[in-house]
Amino acid sequence: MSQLTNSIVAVLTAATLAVAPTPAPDGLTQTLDPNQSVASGRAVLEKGHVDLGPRYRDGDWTIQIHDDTAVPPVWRKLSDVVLRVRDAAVERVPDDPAYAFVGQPPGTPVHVVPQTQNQDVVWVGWNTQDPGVMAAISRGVTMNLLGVQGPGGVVVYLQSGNLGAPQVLWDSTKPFPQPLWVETNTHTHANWIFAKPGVYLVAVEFTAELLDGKQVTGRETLRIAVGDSTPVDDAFTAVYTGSLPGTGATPSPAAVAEPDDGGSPLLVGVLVGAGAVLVVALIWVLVRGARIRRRALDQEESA
Amino acid sequence: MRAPWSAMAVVAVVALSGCTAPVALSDSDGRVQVVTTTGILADLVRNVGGNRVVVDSIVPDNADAHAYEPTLRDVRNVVYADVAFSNYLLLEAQNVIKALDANLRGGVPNISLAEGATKYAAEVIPLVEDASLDTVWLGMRVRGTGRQYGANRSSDVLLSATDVSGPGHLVAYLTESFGDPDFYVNSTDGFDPADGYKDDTAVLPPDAHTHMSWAFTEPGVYRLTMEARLAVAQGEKPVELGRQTFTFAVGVDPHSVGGAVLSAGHADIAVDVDQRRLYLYADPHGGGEVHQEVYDPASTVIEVPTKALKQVPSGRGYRFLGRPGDKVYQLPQAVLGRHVHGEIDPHLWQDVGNAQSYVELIRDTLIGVDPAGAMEYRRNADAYLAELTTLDTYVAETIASIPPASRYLVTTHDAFGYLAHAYGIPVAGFVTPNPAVEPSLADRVKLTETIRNLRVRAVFLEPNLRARSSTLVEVAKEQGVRVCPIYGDAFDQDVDTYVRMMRFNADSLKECLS
Ligand SMILES: [Zn+2]
Ligand SMILES: [Zn+2]
Repeated sequence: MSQLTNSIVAVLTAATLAVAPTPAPDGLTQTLDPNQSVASGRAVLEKGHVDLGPRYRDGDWTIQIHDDTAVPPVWRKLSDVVLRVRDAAVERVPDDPAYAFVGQPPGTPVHVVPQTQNQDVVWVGWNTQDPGVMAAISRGVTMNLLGVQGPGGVVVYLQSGNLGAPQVLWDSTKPFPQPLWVETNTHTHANWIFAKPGVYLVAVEFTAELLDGKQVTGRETLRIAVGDSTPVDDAFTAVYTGSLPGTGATPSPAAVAEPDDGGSPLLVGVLVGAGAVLVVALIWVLVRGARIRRRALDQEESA
Repeated sequence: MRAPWSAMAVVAVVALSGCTAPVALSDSDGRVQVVTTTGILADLVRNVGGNRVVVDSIVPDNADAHAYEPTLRDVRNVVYADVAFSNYLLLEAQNVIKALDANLRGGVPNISLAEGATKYAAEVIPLVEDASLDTVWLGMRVRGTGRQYGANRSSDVLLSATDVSGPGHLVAYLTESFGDPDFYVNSTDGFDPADGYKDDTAVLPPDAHTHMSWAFTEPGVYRLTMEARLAVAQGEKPVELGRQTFTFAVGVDPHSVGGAVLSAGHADIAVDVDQRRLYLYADPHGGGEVHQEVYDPASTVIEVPTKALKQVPSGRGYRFLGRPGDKVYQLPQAVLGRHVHGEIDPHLWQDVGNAQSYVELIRDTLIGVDPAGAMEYRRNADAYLAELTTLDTYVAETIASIPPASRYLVTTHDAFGYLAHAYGIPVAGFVTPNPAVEPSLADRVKLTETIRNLRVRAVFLEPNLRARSSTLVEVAKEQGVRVCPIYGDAFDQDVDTYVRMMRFNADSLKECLS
């Protein structure tokens, strides 16, 4: 894994905290940085439901973030968004060989974006439910991890809940690209583990074959600030310096992972008329109460 | 047909000329020289090519395409070929594909029928990578906003299990990131009205949706009663939203329970806040909520198939399901792992409609190689397509005449997904997904449970895999059921055309299952 060239190991400034608005009651947390003239379109998402996914409009295949924390939900450009994983996401790696793939010794604190929503943590998934995408492709898309830059490893895995071992989908310590098949009209959340706090850039590519046989592809970089003390500005300005593998069709230059230079006017996420389809989509919830029983069970187990 | 020789090909032929086995293809024949990987593909080509072509297959009758090693004779055939047809999509052993890629002369069309047929309206189904995830995906959902009661996103909808009847326990739970379970419903400690079913209650906001695993400890029919309340705000008296009983057929034939069967796709136990009622909200074909429809719980059965049978692991935290090694039937909380690699089941021809797509692609390919024969290829293809339409009707009608409660397919390898999909005969089980994989003890247990619980009358064995399928034959013997023939990937001396094969399979299913 290559290190971020401009990664600043987080020193939290009081000023950063002071300008961060309190979350709106609907869970929308959009931080508008007053110190940068181009900040109007930037969004820091740190709670609520967010999906990565392809969109298809007027022959244009793009990769965007579906921000379901907004009412009504909106799509946003990846360069406009920092996903902020707060310290509320910290869990310790269990002392269980089934979790050796995390690559950290048991007891190590890591940031976990879980498969099922933790109300205090941004909940990141992916969907292939954009109506334009559903109309344009027949089977599904290939979602490819092209590279990760950050202070530690990133693992994305699934708990199928079939008594089997956790299924690792992406692992930043393994060779790239790492393709993953995603069927049309599906919506998935998996577990994301970030080994260390800091800024992560995750380069992804979505490729699909359209009904007419033509291949479309798009590449983007997901910006993630892990840990309360990681300045989100660093995540906005970080530059992906590593080389990316060539996969899928030849990406159009515009779609290649290029962080926004900050000079162009940044758009606020475009409102989708048909987004209502996704509004009713999944707001997965944490089930309360049942935890009490689990604790009792754990005690019984250790007794 | 004569074609220009590349120097390389000449060398290859000279090098192999010591080989004594007869080679079907040659350069001294006026006809189009066609090589295919399997005998089934060769038969399709013969029907389209007629007298204008000479066809030979690499994998001989009675052999297994998944494991076949090409011989020198095969390589010589490939060198002479004017066109090559493979099925592809991992049907053929890697070396068979390599023999084509390495030895076809330059410019010779090398057609993957399974891939190309999708452009001719073939219907492909994804390869199931984990059969235990190939079940209905069942969750819980709150529909509606409850605005008429003053509810908002911070209101709570409480979905409580109040009773479970059945031969064993029902546990609906979530496996969290690091493996800890979180419970929604747990019948092992009963249901306590005194505390408002607190330990068997899922709390969701309006318009929300979640998924969990559904575990059952014994096979049989279960009935789960759930009721729902809306707590608009803390301290307010909840609004009663209704009560319903949901039926599960676990490991047993769901048709014998009666009603519609939910065995695939996406389904949610839904509480409709605005209509104040509970129902099933399901799309048997799909993933997303766009196509979900209401199903009446009183006339719907949720199937928990034996392919979802697992053993309780010895690791920490699974004691609520039983002892390590105990059997559990379970619907999974996430089904993405069913096919994350995006591969397609290669056995397309088990759906006659797909074989017709192959035929059309073969026709157009032959016309490209031999334009002078275009009329003849079209005429042959039209006649054969008509014959295949008749065949499709025959297979559909024959299988449809098997009573639904007996209509289950248990085979030795997973080659019949298309037959199942096209003609409505569910694959209840197989020994291993691929004949090259050795069955484990767990595979054997699952097979036994499938045969026993579904009261399966017969299992089906591919004649070319007989030598390697001791598990299927042994388990069938133990359970006292018949072993009947079914043809999958290869012909033999008795069944040597595609049409005969599909008719034979339909007849064999009917005869052995009725
Ligand atoms: Zn999502
Ligand atoms: Zn659902």
